[in-house]
This record gives sequence, C-alpha cells and structure tokens, in this order.
Amino acid sequence: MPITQQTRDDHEIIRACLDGSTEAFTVLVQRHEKRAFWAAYRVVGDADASRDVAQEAFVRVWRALERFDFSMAFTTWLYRITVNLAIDHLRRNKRHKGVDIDLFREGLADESAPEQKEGSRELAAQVRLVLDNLDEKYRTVLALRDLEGLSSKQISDITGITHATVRWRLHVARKQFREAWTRYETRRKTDLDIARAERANASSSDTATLDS
Amino acid sequence: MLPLHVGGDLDPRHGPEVDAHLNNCLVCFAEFRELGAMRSRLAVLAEQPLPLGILDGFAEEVMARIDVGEPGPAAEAPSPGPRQRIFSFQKLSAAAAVMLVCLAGWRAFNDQGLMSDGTSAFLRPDLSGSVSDGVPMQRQQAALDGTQLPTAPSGQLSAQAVNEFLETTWPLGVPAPSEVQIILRSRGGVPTVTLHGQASKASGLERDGQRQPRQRNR
Repeated sequence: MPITQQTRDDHEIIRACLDGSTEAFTVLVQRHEKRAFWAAYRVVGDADASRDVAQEAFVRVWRALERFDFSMAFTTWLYRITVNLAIDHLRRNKRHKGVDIDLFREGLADESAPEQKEGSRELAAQVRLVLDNLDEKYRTVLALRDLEGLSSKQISDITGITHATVRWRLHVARKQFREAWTRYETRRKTDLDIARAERANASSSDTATLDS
Repeated sequence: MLPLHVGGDLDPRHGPEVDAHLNNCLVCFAEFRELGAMRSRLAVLAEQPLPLGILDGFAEEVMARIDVGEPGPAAEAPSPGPRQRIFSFQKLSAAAAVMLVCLAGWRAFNDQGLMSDGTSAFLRPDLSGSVSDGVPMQRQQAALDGTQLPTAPSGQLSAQAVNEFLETTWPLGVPAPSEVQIILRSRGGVPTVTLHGQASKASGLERDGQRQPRQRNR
C-alpha cells in the first residue's frame, strides 16, 4: 500500500488513541467526519440517517481500534465500516423513501442564479431517485466509484470483493443506471404530456361553457 | 466494455481497440455518449454541498455516544498491540473449533445476549443477501483464527460486542458458514474469548450445553 502523508498522520493519531488519548480520537473524527458522512449518504440517501450511520461508524472504530491493521490506510477501514453500516441500515429500513432536497437547498451559500441552482437541485433529486432503485450491491459500487471517486482497487479493499467483481458490478451498475434513467425520463415526459392535455381539455371546455 | 470505458475503468490493453471501434460504429458511439451523459448526471449528485449544519456537533456527539464506562483501546487487557489477530490455528481440547461470521443484519444471540465464562453458543448467521464473490471462506477463517474479543469487566461477552467485532472485521460479500460456535474461557484469571476456525454443522442455539431454538435479536 502506498503510504501517503495523510495515512502517516492518521496512523500517528491512532497510536495516540491507543495510548489512551480521547482528544486524539476527537481529532481523528474531525478529520474524517465529512468522508464518513458522504460515504453513508451515497448508499443511504437520507442526510439524517447518514449522520447517524457515520457517527455509529466512529463508535465502532473506537471499540475496534486495537485491532486496526497498520498495513492499511485508516480511510479504507473507515469506509469499510461505514459502508457496512449503511447497507445494514438500508436492509433494516427497506427502501429509501423520498429525497430530502430541502436540506440541500439550505446548504447552498451562494444565492446567485437561483434558478440554475434550483434546476441543479431538481436534477440531483431525480438522479438520487434513480440511484436508489438500483440493487444495493450495484448502488454501493457505483456510489463509491462515480460519487466518491475511489479506485476499483480501493473499492475492492473496502468491500472485500475481488477487483474483477468490482469492475463487473460497475459495468452492470452503469448500464442499469442508464436504463433506469431512460425509463424514468419516459415516464416523466408521459406524465407531463398527460397533465398538459388535461389542462388543455379543461380550458377548452371552460371556453365552450362561456360561449354557450 | 463501454460502461467501463466511459469511466476509465477498462483494462488499458483494450482501450485503443475500443476507441478504434467507436470511431467506426455509430450505434456504439451513440451508446457511449449516453453513458457519458449518465456520468455527468451522477456528477451533479457528487457536487452537492453538505447540508447546512449537518455535521454541527458531530465529533462531540460521537464522544458522548462512546460509553465512558467501557474501556477504550489502551485500557483493554491484555492488549498485545495494534494487530490483535493471531493467525495460528489453536486446537481446543474441550470443544469443536468454530468461527464467527457476521454479515450486515446478522444477529448473534437471543435477547438475553450474554454468555458467562465456560459457556458456549452455536450461532446461525443470517445469510439473506449474502453473495459469494469468490473470496475463499477458508482464507477468512484463517484470518480470524485465534482472534481475541474484548469482554466486559465482569467477564461476560455481550452479543453486541460480538456483532460489532464482526461487522468491523468481516468483509462484505464473503459467504458465511452455516453455523459457528463461540467459546468463552478464562486464562490465568483474565477472561478472554478466542475464536477458532471451522464452522460447526450443529444447528440451533445452545447455551450452557442446552440446545435452544435460535431467537433473532433485532
């Protein structure tokens, strides 16, 4: 495993934790809280649930810290625990219902071009809906690769599946996402056409009523 | 190949061949473009900012959730060091060698959930959703052989501790054995639990030598 500076720093902090420093563990949490949150969110799709999953991941890390394998990067281990917990959450809660788009609306600090921002948020919500309909094993690999930007090798280390299986699932996931998106778009356009037709009928019957 | 090529995940040896084909095949090129558009849509999701305040007080809450009564890493005894796994297989004279496996959603014990020194329990992992991905189970067994689990100061092992240990250790997708056994025994007055490798073929949940129907601990 190539040792990055971040990995070295994490290992130093972990050693301080193993010497009994809870302050060091707080530092470790603060360094990686965003990473854990996003890893959970990519799978779970709900911000509050993802925060809970990410916190639980750190609690598990604390309890298992003495078993940490210093030949691996801490981030790999954290991803593994977080993704496990996120999938566990999904299985307990069946399907994710809805998208908490309002939470993300509040998160935007830049209020310029609000229409563009709104369009982007709507698109994100639609993408989330399609992603949530993928089978969890394909969703997980797709989320880790295309949303978190992890390599196939990193995903293999995190999930414990072979590199070849990662690439196969990625292949299937991207195809399924594309097909699901096409179905979603077709349905959406059909719904819009029906709505337009109904409005047109309603206004023409109003006109007919007025004329008579 | 196209779904992999669009993300740069194709084996580099095949890249030039695929590119040459795309230059000559309108159908494949159109599909390649659609897949590219799909990745652009995913990128919109990847660029979302953090919800405002979602991580406020995150670290403080984590530290509050950690049970201060529960020993942290340095207080655990005995503690051989960061790499706790003992890879040698240890034969037990008193009981069959077994192994614990946990997949997400698996629950090890019934609601009472506690074992005392000298007891054993057979556990049936929840295999729903498990997928075999070709990683040999035996390799995982060997990796966990002899691993020591932390016990509470009372010497008792909680189901929660076992589940958490496995959930942080067991890789996703590796098939679980049909059943495993945990043995809790004392060494020199210090309570320890040792896991050993081979799945037991017994079924049901047994505590204190009495076989009982397994109850799910949700």
